[in-house]
Amino acid sequence: MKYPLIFITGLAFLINACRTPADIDLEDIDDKIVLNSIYSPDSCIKIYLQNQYSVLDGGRADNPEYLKQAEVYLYEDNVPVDTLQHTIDAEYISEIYPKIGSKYSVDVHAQGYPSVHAEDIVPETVPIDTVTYERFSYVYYHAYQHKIFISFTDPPGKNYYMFYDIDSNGSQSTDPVIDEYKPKHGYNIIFAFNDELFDGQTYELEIISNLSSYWNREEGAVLRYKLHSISEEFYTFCKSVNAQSPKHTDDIFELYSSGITEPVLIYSNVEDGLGIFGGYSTAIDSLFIPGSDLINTP
Amino acid sequence: MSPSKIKFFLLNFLLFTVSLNVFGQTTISGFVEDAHTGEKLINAGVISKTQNKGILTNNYGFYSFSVKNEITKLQISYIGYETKHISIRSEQDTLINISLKPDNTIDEVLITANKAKNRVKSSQMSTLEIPMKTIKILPVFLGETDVLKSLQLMPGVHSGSEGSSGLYVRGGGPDQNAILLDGVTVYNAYHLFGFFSIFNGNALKNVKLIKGGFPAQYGGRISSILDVRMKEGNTKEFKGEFSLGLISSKFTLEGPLKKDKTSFILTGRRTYIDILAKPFIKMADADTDAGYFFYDFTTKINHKFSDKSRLYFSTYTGKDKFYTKYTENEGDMIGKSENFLHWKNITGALRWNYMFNHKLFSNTTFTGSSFNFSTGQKNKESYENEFKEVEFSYNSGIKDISLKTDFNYIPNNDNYIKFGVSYTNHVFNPGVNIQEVKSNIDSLESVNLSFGNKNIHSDEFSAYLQDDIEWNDFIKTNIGIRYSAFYVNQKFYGTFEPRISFRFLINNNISLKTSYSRMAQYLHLLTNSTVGLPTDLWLPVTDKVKPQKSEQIAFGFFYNINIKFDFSAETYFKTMDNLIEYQEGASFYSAIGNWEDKIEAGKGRAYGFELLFKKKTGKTTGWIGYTLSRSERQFENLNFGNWFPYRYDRTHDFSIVVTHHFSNKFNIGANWVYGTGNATTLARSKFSSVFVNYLEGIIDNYSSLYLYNFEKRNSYRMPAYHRLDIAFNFEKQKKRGKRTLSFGIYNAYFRLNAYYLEYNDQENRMDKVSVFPAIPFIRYNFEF
Repeated sequence: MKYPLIFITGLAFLINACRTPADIDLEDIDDKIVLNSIYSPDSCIKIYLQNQYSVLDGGRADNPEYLKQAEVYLYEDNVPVDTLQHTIDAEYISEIYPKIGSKYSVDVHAQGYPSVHAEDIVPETVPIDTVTYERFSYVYYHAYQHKIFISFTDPPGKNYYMFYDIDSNGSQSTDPVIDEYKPKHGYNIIFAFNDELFDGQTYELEIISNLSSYWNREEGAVLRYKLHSISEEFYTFCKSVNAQSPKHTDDIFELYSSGITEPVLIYSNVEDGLGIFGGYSTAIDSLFIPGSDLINTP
Repeated sequence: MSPSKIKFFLLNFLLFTVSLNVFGQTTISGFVEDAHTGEKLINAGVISKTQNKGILTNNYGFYSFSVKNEITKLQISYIGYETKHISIRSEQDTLINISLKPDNTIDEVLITANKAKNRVKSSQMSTLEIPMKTIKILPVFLGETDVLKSLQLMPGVHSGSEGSSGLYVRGGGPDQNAILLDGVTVYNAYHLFGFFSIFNGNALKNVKLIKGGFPAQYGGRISSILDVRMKEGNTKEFKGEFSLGLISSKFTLEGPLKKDKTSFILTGRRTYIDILAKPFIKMADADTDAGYFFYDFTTKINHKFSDKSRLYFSTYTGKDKFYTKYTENEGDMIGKSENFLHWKNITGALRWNYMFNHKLFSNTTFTGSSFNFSTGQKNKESYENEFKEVEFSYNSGIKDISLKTDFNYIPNNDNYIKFGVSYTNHVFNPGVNIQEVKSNIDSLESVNLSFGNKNIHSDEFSAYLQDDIEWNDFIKTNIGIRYSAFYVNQKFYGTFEPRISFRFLINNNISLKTSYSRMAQYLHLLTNSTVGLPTDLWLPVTDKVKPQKSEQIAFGFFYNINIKFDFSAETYFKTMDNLIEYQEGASFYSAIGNWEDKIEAGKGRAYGFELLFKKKTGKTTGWIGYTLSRSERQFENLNFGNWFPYRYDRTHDFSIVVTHHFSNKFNIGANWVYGTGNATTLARSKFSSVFVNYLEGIIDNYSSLYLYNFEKRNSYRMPAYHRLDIAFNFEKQKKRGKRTLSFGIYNAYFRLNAYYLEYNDQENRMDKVSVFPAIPFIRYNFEF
């Protein structure tokens, strides 16, 4: 009996991990401007300004600290074009509609905060050449599934895209352009990718669309697809956000603390601040699928 | 270097060394062994006072010494043994085997002083050896003698994380250490998730860690070589030892199968956490069973055909298993589920020593090594006569078969030439998921699917030539060249690895040394950097993933202050190329996609300064070690391409180790360690940002996405690490043998060292989680 008691005492020490305060001060964070703005020629430039908050300030997410009295200057190809006006909450608005190929930069000054600067371009729109489809024999909720082929011609040089399947109930893809760490087999109707595999060539992006909500649409359906051309800065930001987003749990820290993954640093092109200032332009095309190819009639 | 240049170099090298052979001399050669057990003694000193020359025995106790045709007095010494003096007048080459008697009562001053002088005079630097005798006195974690933990107390080496047996040597990673058990590569040298090494101290004869200035005979890894040699087994009489510890027991048996010809040694160890915990788990929940155990067995048999020929066969088998089982009974319906995680090492070596003549000794080894990791879940449901079994598992591992031959050629007392070749076939299993469904239910089809990475076959080859040359009384060099090559997936990699060490002897007690070595490693360990688990994957180089390479220069000052104290200081600078890391956000637990697509390749650099001050003799012995170092990494796609501290970068590392013999019956061992906290990545702040909603397909400026701002990778430090361990050892000679009762405490003053950091949202603070606040241990050992 004596020996098991010794063992149990020892084991109790081993398994009862202690949790005590660590001598690391995380509360005193500096004020830092978080600048968020993605812009395209379809609308005027809007910029959103907030402060960062301590990671230990759990309640702050519901009560963000907006910067309402900042000076926000906008430049187009290094020429001052506008001073943005505050509207509501974090929003500042300009009258400028961005032009494709132009570089936009922004300077923000706010009392008590380090000034920030960010710049980016609006990339050329890459039109969708064709959208075609192929009916799958596989039936899902009375409707066929479809392979959709979106063809476009990539201009030479580095280009970055974001694809958006507007009208389906969810799509999947095993297309090799999709980043490994975006789920290839899950619902994935919007994703960012680059042209490493098809630089300067015509490429046919393949997705498998779930059109189960059209199962009774005898007249057929029009499906729309967007191909955003996004800047390198915006792409890099998206990639880092994807990597930080939890894959198997709702809380990144559950993964991080358990040692399953390394924490991911979020990319920012805002000098002395956080967030993203990114340009994009959009091409849109549509596809008509007749009812006979849409509905599975038993 | 072109092939013709290599031939030219080798030819000149051999001609040069042969020309150094002096005529009119004869050679005395043989083996130095323990008089009581027949164990060959490694690094025993054979010294001629008349010639002022000396030589050390090799790993098999072999020596060869050239003498003039006159009476020569040889002194043969080894720590813990009586020094032997022999006078020889030899007119022809002679074989003399020398037996040394162990003598614990002897004043070890002279012998230790000789050993220290060897350290000063040797061309080798950056090498650590701790006698097994010392290791057994030192405090041990949970009562388990652990050579790796003892090595962590030396400068330039640390453990990585609390309690771990991992070795981080001069800023390198745990995969960059060649861990050789009797010359066989061991891929996962740890039990219990890294808290114990697989080496059973009772079976070991010698442990040597080389951190830099690598002789050409060693290769395959870029940071260190850990050369662990097992005992051969007592050739004279049967002996045994057993010990009982808090969590495990172990035994050793050794003896002659045929006296002075054939001997064996057998050791075994098993933990019994599972057995002791089982009743308590059953008490908590009768339907649940859970446990963990590890075991290991080593065997070695050696047979002496003649004085010139000897055969050894050794094996190691070790396994760790963690499991939970759950049973559910509802009427005729029985459900069973099991989760398991296990890993297993098996190694084997068949070795043949042959002495061609008095100057040429060979060792040919055929080895095999296997490491397997498996984790998964099994579910079985049965209802009356029907059953369904579903199993999902993830397996990875590596298997090696290797053949190598090494030669020692000692043409004269000023040259010690070593050369050899080796070939290894590797089979890597870089992670496969297996799903299996078995059933006798008609409507269910049996399924046996495996998906993931295919096995990769590869071939590794190496050849080396080196000469330890004593140019004059002051200058000694070790010059060598190693060529290594790797063939995988129709891709060939080859690397020349020059090695040079230079010693300048200022006087008999002081020397300066410098070394340069280039190392290549064709294997990578893909590891989730926040933990050290057997889930880490061994992977080969491929056409995309290039070999790791390092270059290291080191400078050292060695001072044998007097017969009691010696001191050394070394500084080093090391570069490492083609290191790999998981991409940000990636993890091991997915066989989807190719592993090559989950990694980033980068480089590293490490530099530091090491001090070691030792007290070698007297009742109180020990050492003080200090390391000031920096280790950094750079990957194009990690930390935005900027250099960042390696997770186990440790600016200051300090250790004091003391043993004191109060009497023949009582001694104590204590050590205190201090280290800068590990580098870690923390988010200080959160912020909202652009919302790319993957479900709704919205790109929106107005955001409800909250991101963690980690700023820079590994830019924070955990709190400093320090702890004190103490052991008390009571020895008593009994009628049938020697009993040792040891007890002590690990982390004696209850320091709550951080194992990892965690956010505490309720208290608005960062917490450190400590796993080993203070752990007492007790061990009973009996030698007979």
